[in-house]
Amino acid sequence: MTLSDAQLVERAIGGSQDAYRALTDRHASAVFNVIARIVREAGAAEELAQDTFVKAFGALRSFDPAYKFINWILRIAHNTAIDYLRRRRPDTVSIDEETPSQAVAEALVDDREASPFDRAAHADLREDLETALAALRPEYRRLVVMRYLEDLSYEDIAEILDLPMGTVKSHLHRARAEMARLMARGGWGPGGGTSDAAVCNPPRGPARRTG
Amino acid sequence: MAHDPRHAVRDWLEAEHAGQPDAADRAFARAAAVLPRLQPSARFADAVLARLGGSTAAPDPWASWWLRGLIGAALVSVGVLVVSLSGGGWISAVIGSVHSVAWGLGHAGTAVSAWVGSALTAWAGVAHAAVVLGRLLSGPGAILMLILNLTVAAAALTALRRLVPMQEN
Repeated sequence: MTLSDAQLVERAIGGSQDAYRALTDRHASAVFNVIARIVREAGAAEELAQDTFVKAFGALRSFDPAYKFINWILRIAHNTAIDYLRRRRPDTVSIDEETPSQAVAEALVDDREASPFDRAAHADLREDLETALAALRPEYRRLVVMRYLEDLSYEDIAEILDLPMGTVKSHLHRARAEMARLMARGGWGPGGGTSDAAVCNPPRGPARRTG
Repeated sequence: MAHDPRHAVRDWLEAEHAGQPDAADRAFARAAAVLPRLQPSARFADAVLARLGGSTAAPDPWASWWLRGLIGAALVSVGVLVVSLSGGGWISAVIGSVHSVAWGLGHAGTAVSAWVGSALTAWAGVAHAAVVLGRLLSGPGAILMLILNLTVAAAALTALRRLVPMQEN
């Protein structure tokens, strides 16, 4: 029988180490993915993800079972990542530099793609999407990660980030539009080489064309 | 072909270009499937539990239902045992207990009354001192000093209220 998050929380408060482990195993991936995508440093992300669970488990009694546990812990994860970025430096990301997220992505396990063949076949697309995602401001990047990589609803994202739903939608729209501009600039525009962007910025090879 | 990420990218960019946010949302979700979901190390849970150490939520003994039931059953059995052993004598025991409690309350009431009397006497002295102090502070210099103190206190409170949210963030 699979226990719900609320049941696991209750058991963890009762002192069950197994419940702590089950909660960690269940949500480690989401917490780590969100943090790693925001801070874009593999080593720091692991440490910050651990910090997130330590903070959450230390404050487990303040968790309201009326809310989703994943939303609660992702909120802590997000705040932990943003605190780290504030402490580290002002975010001045250049799209020309080799993006640390690419290194992060290459170094860590990918559980979304079906096979090594798929990974190889879409390597260029993935690389360009990674670059476009990394070029976004952290405020936009976090939304893209939560919406499209963690499959969270607009409502959940609004709750996690404590933002109005309209702000979430408009920021996501701007984030996508910004990524679309970068992708078109890289030769992924509609019609491949026929687009204005492709004419101005020829694709780097046939494999980059859509269709 | 609808699941081909390259087609999804094309659909996404076309939808963005055409100003169709819903279609762009759906197409981008398909395209984003090629992005890896980053995973922590295999020993992540072990590391978290090791770091937790004593900082986990303290075990709450009342959280376990079996313990609550056990304690309840123990209390009930003790009650039944006492009643069954003493037979009819428990009525006199109860009356004796009530008598003892009433006697204790009576003495406590007397003590409280005496304490209140002495407290009122002391309070009268403090009130007299306050009147004298009030007359001393009624001059303009003392009032200005008081206003200055209140202003400094208000400024300090405002600064503190701004600092606390920054600390929390």
